Amino acid sequence: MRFSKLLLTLALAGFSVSSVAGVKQYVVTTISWTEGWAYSAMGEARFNDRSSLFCQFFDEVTIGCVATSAAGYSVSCRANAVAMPGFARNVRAMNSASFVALYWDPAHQGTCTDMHLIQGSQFLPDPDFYVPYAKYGTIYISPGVAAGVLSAVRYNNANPNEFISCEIQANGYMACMARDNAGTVAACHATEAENPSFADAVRSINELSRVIFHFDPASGVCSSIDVYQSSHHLL
Amino acid sequence: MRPAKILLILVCGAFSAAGIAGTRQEFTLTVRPAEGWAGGAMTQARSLGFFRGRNLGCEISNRDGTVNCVAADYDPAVNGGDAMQCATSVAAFPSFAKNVRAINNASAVLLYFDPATGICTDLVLIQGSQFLSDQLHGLPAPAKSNIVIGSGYARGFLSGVRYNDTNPNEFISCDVHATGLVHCVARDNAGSVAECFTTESANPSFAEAARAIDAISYVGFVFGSTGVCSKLFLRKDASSLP
Repeated sequence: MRFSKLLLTLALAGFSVSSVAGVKQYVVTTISWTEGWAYSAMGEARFNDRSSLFCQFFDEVTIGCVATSAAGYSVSCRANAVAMPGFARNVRAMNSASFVALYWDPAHQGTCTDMHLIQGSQFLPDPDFYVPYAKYGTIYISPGVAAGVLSAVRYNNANPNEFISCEIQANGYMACMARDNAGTVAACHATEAENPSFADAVRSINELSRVIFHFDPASGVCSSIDVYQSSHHLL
Repeated sequence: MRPAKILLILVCGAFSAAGIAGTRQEFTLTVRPAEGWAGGAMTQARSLGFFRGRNLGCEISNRDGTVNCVAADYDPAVNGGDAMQCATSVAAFPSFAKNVRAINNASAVLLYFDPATGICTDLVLIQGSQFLSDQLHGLPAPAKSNIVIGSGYARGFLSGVRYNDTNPNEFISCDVHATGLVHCVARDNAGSVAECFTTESANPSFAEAARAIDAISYVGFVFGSTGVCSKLFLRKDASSLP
């Protein structure tokens, strides 16, 4: 199964976990050598199963990524930052709110072919302390618009079904999605080629972010994706 | 004091705090509207509970490309404080917008603006271990690590250094000015300091790497006798998270 529809799957609740706070999507680092993919959540890997995933720039051109499963099995691939600028931008954008899916050609192992980056509240690691933001941490959805603060949503005990996230693939496809506590889902999609500033916004999402996206409800096309980075949004 | 040299002050030790773990730099949110600047570490500039009097933030509107930043250092203890806001646009100041997008929980932000016009004139972004939160959120500490400084190079894991109780003097950071200066600095536990400079125009990829530094980053930089950075190494690693 290629995980191109992971976010949609989450919205349908197949993989979502309504925890003591907002939605946490439980991710175990998983590798499929035969199908050519590996995925992990950066904020969860070391707590869920002591696995890991990392990417690094060896120089200005060469990027290397390594995923290691809980059983200790590893896979690695390399990408050319010049040939795949979107891949390089996604690597730089990885943070503690990131889900990362790496792809490579099984017939030519060692060469990365795509990176699917999802920046979302549901991938932030578990807290274990009092969080003072419950009042503010709700998803807002109305026709054509959705908004939420990542940390405030993730750590709000009163809204176990909520999340907000945006994803971007190295090839430029983007999608944003939010779900409120009643189960209402809002989603939109766009491409980096048509809206490069949207891609910049998506890649900038982290635990300090408030995300708001507008869209045409009929077509599902994003008309704006705005990100507000504020100290007030921090835990 | 215009805090343009705050990082150098830290290197000299005047403001550095050797805490229970790696170095934590106290950088409380400060707003000086008349002088045209505001600054603070993001993890130290938040308000607690429902009180919203302290805030440091920037927003980019993709509808019209405007960039707006606000800062307020209201102190309920004295029932006073200052606030400021400034604006620019992605088109007029693209590197300012890039710095805004790069703000994260390892960031200290220095905003400069023209008090007469309210136009933002610079955003100095410092991405460093010394600005990571005191809190580990109840989670186990990351694998401890140290700053390594050698002849012409320095390297270290941000979180591994910040949360290592045995190295109270260590930090590593890079700062990027919207006006183009890029500067990296590291200090080991013995007090040795390594630093280098470059510019975004000379090395745009270095600026991109510096902006990308956060809590999951491993950073290394290489430099020659002139102090000019020749390489900036960045790794994003799930295992390095606090």
